[in-house]
Amino acid sequence: MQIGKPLQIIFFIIIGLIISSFFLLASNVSPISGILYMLYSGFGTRIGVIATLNDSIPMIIVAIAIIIPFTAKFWNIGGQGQYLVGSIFATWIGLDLAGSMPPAIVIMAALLLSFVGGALWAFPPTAMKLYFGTNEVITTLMMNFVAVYLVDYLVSGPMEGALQRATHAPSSSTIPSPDQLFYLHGVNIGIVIAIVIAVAIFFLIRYTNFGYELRLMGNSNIAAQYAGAPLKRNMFQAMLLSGGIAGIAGMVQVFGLAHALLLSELSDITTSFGYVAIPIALIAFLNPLLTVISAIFFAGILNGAYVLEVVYGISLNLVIIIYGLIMIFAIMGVMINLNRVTKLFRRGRKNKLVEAAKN
Amino acid sequence: MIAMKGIVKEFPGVLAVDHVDFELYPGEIHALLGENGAGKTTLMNVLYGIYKADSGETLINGKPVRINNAVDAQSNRIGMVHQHFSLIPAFTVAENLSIGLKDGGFILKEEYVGSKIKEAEDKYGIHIDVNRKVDDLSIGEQQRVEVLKLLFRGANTLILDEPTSALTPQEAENLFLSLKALKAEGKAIVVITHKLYEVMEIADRVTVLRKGRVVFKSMKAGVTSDILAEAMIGKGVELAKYKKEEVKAEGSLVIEKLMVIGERHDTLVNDATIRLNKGEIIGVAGVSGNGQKELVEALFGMRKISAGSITMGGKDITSSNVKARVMSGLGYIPEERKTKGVAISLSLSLNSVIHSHWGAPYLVNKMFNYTAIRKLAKQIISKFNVAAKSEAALAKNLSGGNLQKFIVGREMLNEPDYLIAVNPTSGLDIGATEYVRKELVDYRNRGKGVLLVSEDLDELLALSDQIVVMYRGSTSPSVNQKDFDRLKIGAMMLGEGFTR
Amino acid sequence: MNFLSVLFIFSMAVILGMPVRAAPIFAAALGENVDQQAGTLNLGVEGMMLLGTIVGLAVLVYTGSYLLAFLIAGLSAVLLGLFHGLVTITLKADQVVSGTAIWFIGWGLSGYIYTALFKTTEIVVKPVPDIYIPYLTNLPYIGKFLFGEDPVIYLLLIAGIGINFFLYHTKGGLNLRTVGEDPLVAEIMGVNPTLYRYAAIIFGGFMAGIGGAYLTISIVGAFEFDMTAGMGFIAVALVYFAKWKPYRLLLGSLAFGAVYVFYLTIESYLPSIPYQFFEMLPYIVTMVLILYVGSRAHAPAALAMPYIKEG
Repeated sequence: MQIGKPLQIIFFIIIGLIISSFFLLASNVSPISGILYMLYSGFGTRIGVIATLNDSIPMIIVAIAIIIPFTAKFWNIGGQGQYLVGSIFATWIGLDLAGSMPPAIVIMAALLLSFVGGALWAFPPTAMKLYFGTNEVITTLMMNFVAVYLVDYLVSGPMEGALQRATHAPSSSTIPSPDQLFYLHGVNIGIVIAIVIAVAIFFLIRYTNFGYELRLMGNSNIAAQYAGAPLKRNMFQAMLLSGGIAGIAGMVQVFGLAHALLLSELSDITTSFGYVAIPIALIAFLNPLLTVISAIFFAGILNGAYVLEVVYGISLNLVIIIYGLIMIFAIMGVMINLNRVTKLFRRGRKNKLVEAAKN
Repeated sequence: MIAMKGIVKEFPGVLAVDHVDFELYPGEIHALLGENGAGKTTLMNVLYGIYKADSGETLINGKPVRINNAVDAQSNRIGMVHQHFSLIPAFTVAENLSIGLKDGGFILKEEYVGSKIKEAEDKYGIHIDVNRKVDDLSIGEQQRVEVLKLLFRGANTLILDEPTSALTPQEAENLFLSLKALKAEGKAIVVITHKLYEVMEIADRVTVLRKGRVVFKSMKAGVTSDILAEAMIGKGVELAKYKKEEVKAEGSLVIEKLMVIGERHDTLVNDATIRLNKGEIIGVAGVSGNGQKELVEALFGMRKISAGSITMGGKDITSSNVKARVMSGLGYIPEERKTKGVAISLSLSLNSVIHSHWGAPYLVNKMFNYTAIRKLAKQIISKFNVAAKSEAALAKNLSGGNLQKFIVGREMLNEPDYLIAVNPTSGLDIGATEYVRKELVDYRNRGKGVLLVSEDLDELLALSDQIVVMYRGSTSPSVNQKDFDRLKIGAMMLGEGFTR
Repeated sequence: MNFLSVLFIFSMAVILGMPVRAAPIFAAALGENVDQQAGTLNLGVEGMMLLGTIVGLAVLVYTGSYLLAFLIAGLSAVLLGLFHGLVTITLKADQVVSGTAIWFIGWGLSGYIYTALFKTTEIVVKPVPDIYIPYLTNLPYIGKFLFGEDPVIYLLLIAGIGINFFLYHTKGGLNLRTVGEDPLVAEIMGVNPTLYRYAAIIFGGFMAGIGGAYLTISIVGAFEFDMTAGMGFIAVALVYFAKWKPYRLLLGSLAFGAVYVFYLTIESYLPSIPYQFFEMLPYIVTMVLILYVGSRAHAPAALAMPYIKEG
């Protein structure tokens, strides 16, 4: 990559932000100052930073999870479903063992089970792709919707909490406080788990045979096969690992931040970490360490948008637009060759000069 | 009459066409002769509008024309058949012939195509079933579709790029007959070739290119093939001789009665048997599409083997995977250098360990050692004269020739006992071709075995110790060097000596 | 009531409701079909449909014209499509990535526009009126099904037949399919791949927008956040299932229409089964359907591949 490229991409992301800001006009808010206020609320205040960091935790983990198969150009769009099933498994074991086991054991068991749950959810689309050649984008997506209704069923049925029944907010019972992940200066300790996972996956992709083979596969399956990579086995492992890590995000969310299994509506971007993970991972070029930064950036936008909603009554849907625009402008930044563009301009100018000289 | 004047075309680092004048008359077959990389195809691609000349002009009947793309060329009634056909395999012949067709109305009508085909059949003896899928046609038949496509579009100038390279001599003979019929009708025809006997057989006029320049230009009458050969290769340049040494080495790679069945339950490789000893080059000859590709893929572990066995130095590797085969001493230089030989979007460093990333010094304690990997890449680059900025350069930034040198170097430095090379010099310029050939012979001289699969019979005759011919998936008994006979092997490529 | 009569009433209900439920999927899938045959995988259909839902509703509320509502809904989705085209055709970026971004933008826009225009008040509209043909519509059982649907359904049917004819029986269709198979060949043969891909994307966007508008106007009668709930993705899956043949697309869409009506109808008969399991049905059916097709069909060879000229 040329040195100028990252700058160019940041420049395009800023353009994306500026374009998003014009939607504020619809709510009679001055665009630029509105967006700046949003960024300030997400990153500029102590409360904002704390909330941003907390929100970034599940985003980091799911984004890291999907990076693994993305590296091999296997599009796991099912992070949301895997995350949800991970949280189901974690809640279930957490409530089941509550009080009967020491917290450390409960947490370990929940981590393990959430991993299993997520991996389980990633299994059918993977098997279908490998043995029947179905398009993984479609199948992983479909699994997300099934998971949403599964959670809906569980929190309004078998796992419905007593208190929540009274308040009409569907959710499970609360994870008892001794088992919850603790906070340090307001930031949940889950962020440590997130960063540990990010570093581990960075090493996995950069420094192991498995990661190397995934990178070859991302380039082309034929070349990877020529290089001796077992395509099917690698794909299976990558997907199960991906699903499992996305599942862990569910555990961290339940034990660290939400403290219960909550209803996750289709339209609710604030609980759709699995979808938000896609732009986060992509604008970080699938680099696990950069992903931490891009997740914090995305979480900050979300938090800033909360403030805009409260202060100006601006719909939170703005966040989804911003995410989409950032994503599309980031790829434009990657694809546009500025040298070529400037050359075109120069050539055009030259022709005009030549013509002018003729006259 | 078409005249190209003072054409210059430069690619980064190479002057491909250097002030070339070229004239083309109706009712003539004009052979454009030259070695690989002499600039023949580039010159014709300029005429056809695929490349834009840096300077020079093209005149048709004395009027300057601008041809910026294939559509412009077609409206000037120029058509070109490239080595890689422009056909859609999933479509029928009729559909392929109708793509982009302006006349005949908006609705697709098979009868329309059918009647035009009939016309061509009567006139030039080109016949083809319009309802067949192109996928199911032989190379020769596909070529006929290509020629028909141009005629449909009213081309009166036809350019054919190495038209016989993938044809059997019989199919080539048919093609020549059709070309002569077309010529008699007043069409101007360019045949790009590096085969002298083709020029002698069909050309009326010949232009020889060397290193981008015209070195010879004449009517064919009165020209001998010796004159042409000298023009093509240049004075003082000896046809390279490869010095083979007597090698004593024990061990062999034995392919025994190998069977490969395709996805459509068709037998792709049928009872193939080849024995490759260390210290020799076995050439595998054959018209493309006779199972060579599948044989090699099965040999390297990339394709399922249905029956038969492969042993290497006495060890059975029939059911081993690619990794196990490479680790027990097999190497492979594939023909598809950009799509198979390297991961095109990764750096040369990462590409240098493609067949050695399983162990020390590149993998230590299950972790990549990037210092060692970079060292390997540098070694390949310097030892095999790869023109690359650094080992961090992406594979896609290398030219075809340099990429091939890189792959050859990588495979050879991995020191496999047996090395497979498939069409290792196709598309390379003369320098790179000589380089790769010399390396292969040197590798043999070091006591290694080389399985050279090539469609270039002259290459096989020059390098091999023995030649095996493949026809419809089967192999012939091997022919020893002392019995090499161009015509005899050519006949075997057409199926002589094979049952059925 | 005995079992048979329940079954009869139930199947009549499913059959009668089928075309209406099938319409939005069919519209979107027809557009996607054309897109894909020109080599463009458009995963943004979901977002385009969502944009169509709100634009259709808003235009209908402000103008009262069904025609304008569908037209402008379609055009709004075309704008998203042009964005997708700019990124994937002109800039040659990855189509999966761009499609996901388009989905996000359409998703966010639909909710944002609704909130900006209508705050929290719920807007209810009447569906497009059904046609009535004397005698025919009154035929028992089949009259309503065949001769009493709304005009949009008949127009979609005509569009389906037209597209099928265009793709497989005209030069233009052949040229478009050539672009999807091998853009380089198309270019050499005088067919402009960029032009065809943009045309396809415009058509695909328009149809997705129509499908979305139909969902708000004729099915639900109101806007809900993220109301397509994956219908756009199901449309993409249907194209694979239909092996790029519009008539199979019609059958597939009707099957999905049946699935939707089936679970909406059966819910009231089987209250003991939690409704969420019925809601899961379309997604599970989608997975089973594309499992059935697998990779056996011949996909356009250049699907999801940017056209990059060498030299």
